[in-house]
Amino acid sequence: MSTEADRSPGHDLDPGDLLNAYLDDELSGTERAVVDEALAASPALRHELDELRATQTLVRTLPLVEPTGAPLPAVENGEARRACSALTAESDVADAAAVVSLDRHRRRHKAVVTAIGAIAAALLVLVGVGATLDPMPIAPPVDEFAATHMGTGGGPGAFDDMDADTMDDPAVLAGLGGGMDRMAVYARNDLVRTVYSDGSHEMSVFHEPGAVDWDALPADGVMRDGGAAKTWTGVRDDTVVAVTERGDLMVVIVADADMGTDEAMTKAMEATEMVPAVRVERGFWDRLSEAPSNIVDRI
Amino acid sequence: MTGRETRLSESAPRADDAIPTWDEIARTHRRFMYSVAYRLSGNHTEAEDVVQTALVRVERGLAGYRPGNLEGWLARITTNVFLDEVRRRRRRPTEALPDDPERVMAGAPAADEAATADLPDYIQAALGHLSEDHRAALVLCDVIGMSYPEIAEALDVPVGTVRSRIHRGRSAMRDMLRPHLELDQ
Repeated sequence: MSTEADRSPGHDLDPGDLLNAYLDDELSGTERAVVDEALAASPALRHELDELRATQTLVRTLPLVEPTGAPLPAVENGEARRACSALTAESDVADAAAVVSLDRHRRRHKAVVTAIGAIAAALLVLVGVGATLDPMPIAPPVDEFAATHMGTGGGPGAFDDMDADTMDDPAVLAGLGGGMDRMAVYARNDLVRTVYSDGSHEMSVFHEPGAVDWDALPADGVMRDGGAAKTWTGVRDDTVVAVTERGDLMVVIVADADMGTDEAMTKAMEATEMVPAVRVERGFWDRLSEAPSNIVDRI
Repeated sequence: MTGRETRLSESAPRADDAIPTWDEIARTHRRFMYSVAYRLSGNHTEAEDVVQTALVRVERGLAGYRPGNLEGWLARITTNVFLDEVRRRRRRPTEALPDDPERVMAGAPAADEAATADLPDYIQAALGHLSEDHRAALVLCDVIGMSYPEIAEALDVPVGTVRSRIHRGRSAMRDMLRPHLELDQ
């Protein structure tokens, strides 16, 4: 049973957000009373509860699954443990072989890319195309970010789990959750996703070094150019998405729309205000090493 | 962890002070562990691997096992093996490359299709669309029947996070399964 201490003090209880915990009998007495009162007054809420209950019932109908592999041999003779250990060891060996094979493939690929990069970089220096050293503007994939936030996008391998305390990332360490707790940090190359939660809602803050390609953002959003920063905001699935720049960072905030569109928008905008204006230190060699890929992108 | 039986339990309830042997677990509870692994992974080959690894962890962990909800403990180990594998793959991805025929030919979809022919595929497919974190919380809650504090302990996250993940996971499932829902009128 969860307790009031699990949630932020002063957090207003939204009965809609409590329905699943109500269904699971995981609410405190106060919370249950709030939901009971709301259910008595709202047919729509009762319908939503019925839908969630039917969903739970469906999932509960999932039966036991018969293993498809061969049964563990001779359990009665005490051989199963050895068989299990052997199978695991074989699996590790096979896995290691696959990784070695893949690593070899990647090394070859990396060597080719490095060679092309070196030639392109040398050409760059020779012809003096300094303008191409500027970072490419980023078109924020707002639909992908919203899907990732909702847990319906990005398959395995999309992001790596990170240990926030070892990242030394000002945008992560600043704590942009507006009173929400930081729950997890994920990274994919230079793109970092920080997840905040107040127990009922979650908010994702994506940031990446670079400038926003404002012209590439969907036309159904609202562009604001004034105040602290230029912003684009829009609604995607069940989320509110806000895009902005702070210093040399592109920042995208995705907040649950079910906390109320206005509140989600306010949270998102507050978060953008709190992002420190990070200046990314990029040395000459860093910029030079990016040049080949810039050229390829432009081609 | 409480001593209540899990929702999928098929074995006779044990006396709370009885510590099972590893062989007993492998013989009696492998189907249960396999079901948990399959619900999480949606893939028979991966489920087999998860169960094998989980059984090795069970062997190592039996010395510290405190009698109580045995299948809850097994579900916890199985789930964590699955999540560890997901994280390992993220750190060291091994997806097939288009020009690598050895990798492209890996896997045996035909066996999977045959084994799942009589199962409600749309429910499992919907589970597969959830993130691993949301799926794990929902499977432990709705399939296994664990309480929020038990799930929080199993996944090593706050109860509030469990509540959030189940809320989001089940709401997403509701949206995906709406055509199949039977509502009492």
